[in-house]
Amino acid sequence: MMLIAGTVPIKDMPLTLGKVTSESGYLVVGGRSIPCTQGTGAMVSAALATTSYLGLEAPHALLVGDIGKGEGSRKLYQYLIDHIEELSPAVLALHYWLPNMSQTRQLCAAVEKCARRPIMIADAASMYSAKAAGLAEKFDIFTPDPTEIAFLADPEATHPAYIARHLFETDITRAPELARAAYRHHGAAKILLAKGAIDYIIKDGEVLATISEPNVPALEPIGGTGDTITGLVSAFAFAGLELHEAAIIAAKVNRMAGKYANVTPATKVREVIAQFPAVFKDYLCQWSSVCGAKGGRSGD
Amino acid sequence: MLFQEVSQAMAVEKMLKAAGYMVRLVAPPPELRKGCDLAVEINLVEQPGIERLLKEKDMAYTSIEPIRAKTAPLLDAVKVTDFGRWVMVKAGNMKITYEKESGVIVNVSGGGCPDIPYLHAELIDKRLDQAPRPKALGFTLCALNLERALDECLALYSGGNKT
Amino acid sequence: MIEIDARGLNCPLPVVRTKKALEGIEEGELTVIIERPEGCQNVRRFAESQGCGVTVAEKDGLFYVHIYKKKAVKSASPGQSKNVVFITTDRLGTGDRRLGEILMKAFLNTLWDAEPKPARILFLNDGVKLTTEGSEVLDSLKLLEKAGVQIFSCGTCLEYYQLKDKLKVGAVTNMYDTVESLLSADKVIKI
Repeated sequence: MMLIAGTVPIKDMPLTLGKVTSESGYLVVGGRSIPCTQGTGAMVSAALATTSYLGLEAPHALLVGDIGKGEGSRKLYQYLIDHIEELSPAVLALHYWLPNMSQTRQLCAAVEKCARRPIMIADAASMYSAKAAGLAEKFDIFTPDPTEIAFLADPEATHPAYIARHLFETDITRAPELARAAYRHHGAAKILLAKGAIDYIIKDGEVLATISEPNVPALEPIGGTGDTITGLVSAFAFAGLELHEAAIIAAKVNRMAGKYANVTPATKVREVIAQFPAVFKDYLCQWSSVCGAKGGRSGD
Repeated sequence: MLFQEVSQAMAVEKMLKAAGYMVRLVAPPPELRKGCDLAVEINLVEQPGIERLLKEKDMAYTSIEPIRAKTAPLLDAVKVTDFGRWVMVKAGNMKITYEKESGVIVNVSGGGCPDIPYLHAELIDKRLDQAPRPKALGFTLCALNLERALDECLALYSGGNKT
Repeated sequence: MIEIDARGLNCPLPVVRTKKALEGIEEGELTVIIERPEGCQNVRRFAESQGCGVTVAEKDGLFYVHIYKKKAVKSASPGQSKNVVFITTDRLGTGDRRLGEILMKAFLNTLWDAEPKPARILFLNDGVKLTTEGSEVLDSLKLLEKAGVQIFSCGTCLEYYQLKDKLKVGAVTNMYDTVESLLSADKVIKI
């Protein structure tokens, strides 16, 4: 199974584990409705759209309500620590939660006991926590934005709020240089999908691919469009694509969906996700390195 | 979290634990010691929420310092991007986008801490001057950056220069 | 015999699963069960591009793609280079059209006789008219393919000329792979 773990902004929602479905524009997990908005909701929606199109089993989600106090996050971590061996997912994608280095260490230790090591993907505060705990290299994929790459490159920063100013003020074209620093300081996963005006796919410090088309600047202000990339790459990894290819295609799909949706800075992320099936139909085969060219819309 | 007196450290530790925070009483590193020999170790990410709670309870402390000596100061850099009809303000890892004409917040992006999706829902479609303050509602450093972004948006918008 | 049940899976997953299975064996057979004709074609083309033998059977609305992988010859074939021939037109030269078509036919025949043969021939733009129905050089190209030369035609170009369903030799490629082929070649000969 593919397992996504994270918090949702529903105050008293208890820890809930279940296969994800969709009903009237909401996600449903364990009988509870979750909005498809910025955060883990957007990530799960993106993953579900991908597995649905490909014909794969829907993702499972382990969610808990936490609006920042941390109690829900601690329960989430603890559940994973206690049960990851028996859950034994093929892909474990960690998302929004309150960073806790101690519990992150315990979780990584528990993952080592799995009979089959899951593909480990982290974004958002899970990524902050992993890096701060010195465990970035245990992860297969991180999906940082430009500020977060600077955070990964700063060996002293434990949260993006504390990165050195000179790193914050770099533009996205310095991402490869920052990524190399992140690898040197052991702050990077094996693959970085550095998302921004230009997306870089970086493996072990080397840039494998650069994606800048289509150029859709309005995607940056839209809350959740970074979360959707994480959902996409997690689902493609679950589908069995090579991880770097999963990252390349995820970046391309996100951009093209933004173009199809004709986004403005006021667009909501669910409108971008709604375009995923059309983008998959038109481009997935063409972008895959194993299938032949097909489809595409004129002018693309 | 540093204190002048031992009794303050102990009272704060007890209160924070009762409030559900995972904290510990520790000896402060020599280079950070400011008053007494007892400090409360907190998760730095939770600093804004903890500070707010101490203020509500009127409990004294001296300061909150990162343990790692080489940690940079809290990032206060801000970037503004003009999207024609909209403006996006980035403070640290957080971004707020508002419509120039109406001053309505249309999007909140960035961050990774659990209070951000909650704050996103609370801020969206609100006018800048009527939006709740992230520092008042949020609990983490991400919320602090969002507060900075909102401050900058308000300054830009109310300054008559809507870009 | 390895069986891959790709029913219900959308492209590129049937090809991804086939690729993984082929990578896992040195030689042997596998069968891929697919629902959709496009998926069947993609798997067939992929397997053929890997030098495998392929037969397809259809039964009860499903496609059974049987793939036969032979043990790879470790040393490079003495008759094959890492050169790529890049054909962007359906005739040789810019003069008389009919002369150009005859020259192209002669060129490809001679290419088949030549040693070492190129690793790949890429057809782009007008060039895709040579790999599709009605082309006068299909026999030559099929011989080249049989001799181990990979033949690829640009998918965008096939679609533009409405020849997508008329490809008669080789496989469809995309710009990403075209660029990779050109950059990794020892020599690129552009026609």
